[in-house]
Amino acid sequence: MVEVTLKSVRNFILKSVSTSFPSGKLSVIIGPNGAGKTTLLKVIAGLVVYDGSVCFNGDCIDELPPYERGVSYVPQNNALFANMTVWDNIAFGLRVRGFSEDYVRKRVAELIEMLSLESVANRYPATLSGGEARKVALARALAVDPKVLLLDEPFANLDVETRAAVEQEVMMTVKRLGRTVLLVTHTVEKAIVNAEKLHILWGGRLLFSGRLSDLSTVEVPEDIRYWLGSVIEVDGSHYGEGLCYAELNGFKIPVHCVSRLRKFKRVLIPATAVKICRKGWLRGEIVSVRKSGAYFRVGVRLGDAVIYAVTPIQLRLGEVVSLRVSEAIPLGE
Amino acid sequence: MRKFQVLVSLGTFLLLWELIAELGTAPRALVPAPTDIARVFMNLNSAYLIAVNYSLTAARALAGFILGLAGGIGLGVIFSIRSMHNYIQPVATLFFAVPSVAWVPILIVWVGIKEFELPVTASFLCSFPPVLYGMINALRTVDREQVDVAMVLGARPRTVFTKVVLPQALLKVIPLIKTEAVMAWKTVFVTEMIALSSGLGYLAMVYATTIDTSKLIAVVIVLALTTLAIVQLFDLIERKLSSRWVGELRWSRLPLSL
Repeated sequence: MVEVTLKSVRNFILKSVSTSFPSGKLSVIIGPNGAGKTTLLKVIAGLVVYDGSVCFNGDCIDELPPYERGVSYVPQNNALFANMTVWDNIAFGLRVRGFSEDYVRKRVAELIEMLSLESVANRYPATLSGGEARKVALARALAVDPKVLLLDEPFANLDVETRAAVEQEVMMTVKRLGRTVLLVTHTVEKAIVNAEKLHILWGGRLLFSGRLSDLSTVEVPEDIRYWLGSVIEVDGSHYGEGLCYAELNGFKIPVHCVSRLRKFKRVLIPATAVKICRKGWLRGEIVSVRKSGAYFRVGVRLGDAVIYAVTPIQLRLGEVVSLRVSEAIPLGE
Repeated sequence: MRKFQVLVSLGTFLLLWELIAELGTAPRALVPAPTDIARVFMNLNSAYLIAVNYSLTAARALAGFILGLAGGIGLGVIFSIRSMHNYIQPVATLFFAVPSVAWVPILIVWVGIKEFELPVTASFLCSFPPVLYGMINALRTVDREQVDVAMVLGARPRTVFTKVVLPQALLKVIPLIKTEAVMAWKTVFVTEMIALSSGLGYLAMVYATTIDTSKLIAVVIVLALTTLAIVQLFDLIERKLSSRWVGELRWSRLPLSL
């Protein structure tokens, strides 16, 4: 168990955070840009000065420098060492920790095989694709067998196919190695379905900490609903090979297939997965409009539920629009 | 194909030049033909004179440049420490802004007209501030995330510096070192022209005063070929490192490269 109790972090927005992350499981931290997610990871890694405590299974490590904390960190930009080959990047942590060259060779070869990096092992980071670079950064972090693995936006800036491949790789690695993994993301995405615990950071404060299914039972402020999306009850669900959907008002909404959630009554529809169109069958009335930068966040009443969406079009209250939902996340019973 | 184009370009230029000189459109004493200049190199006396003075100029430029390089890189490492950086950077910027040739008259007053000390100091002052300035900036702009990752992976600060920060900073500073090597060479030449009684610069002034244009142009050709050789040498070093670290495509050949 990783326990974090924070009062403040010098020069950063993050404050008043008190939570824990279960051992050997995946925890996801979500929040909009500037919410303090990366800072929270850096606190755990010991890379920023903070007032509070970080404890691993009861042992507090606040006095330890980053190189003695036993964590690994994969930043959003991968931060691969440009002057080293893929092989040397992965071996870096082992070499600086003084492992024998025989062990280094064996361990690096193992990781290269596990993440299918054989073809790029002797290349330099500048010549790698986004997906390859992300996998190398992951292999480098795993090489030192960390107690806690910190992943900052591991699926950002990747095209759809690469993103799916890296996502699968990360999830399989987490399952296979049984490491405590903290994953940060700013978008509501499939990764949160696999999280043992979900944390929502907002403006430097922790607003929600619990299981994903608890999202439907706790009261979440409207501000966050606009950003996060809507939790709604569905009329029925279907779980099949690569084809999962929920039924809502007689229409099918595609849902991420999760084997442990074969039956579900509620889904989370991310605001970014809802498209507003003039014509369509899933129709509702605009009940709220809020400007957010160049976009508008709107609430659309659909029966008893309100579905939140992001749109570049300025819509009026009371206007009837049609909705198209591209994905939803099952929340269980 | 590229080599063929270079040969055609240079061949055409030399041919036109020879033609103009042979036609007598300008006095031969002022515009000698390429064959006249070739004769300067083939004449043992003049070739020997150029070679001796060339070695003097090269030794002076090299000594000052190596001192400037070592000092700039060494002090750059020390001054990149946050607490010192803020005090040093403004002064380094100021010195960086002084054109290297502007040091020559000041050094004539401070160092005196000494055949070795004056050009070496000029060459040193030409390379030291820019390398120092570039090194401080290169060290301070290395990706912070890489430093963080290296520390988290178990590297102590010293290891992070030697294995991650320094190699990447040096790569960033190589183009600047190339420019300064050329500048050091040119500054020593100018110093010799203005104040000294030996070296290629001095020889050029002698040939200019005696209106020995073919020999003067021979000296200028030697000067230019050396500049090209310096550029080529650093291009090679840069390409060797950068093609591996940064990717082959980013590094296009300089217009000066052959």
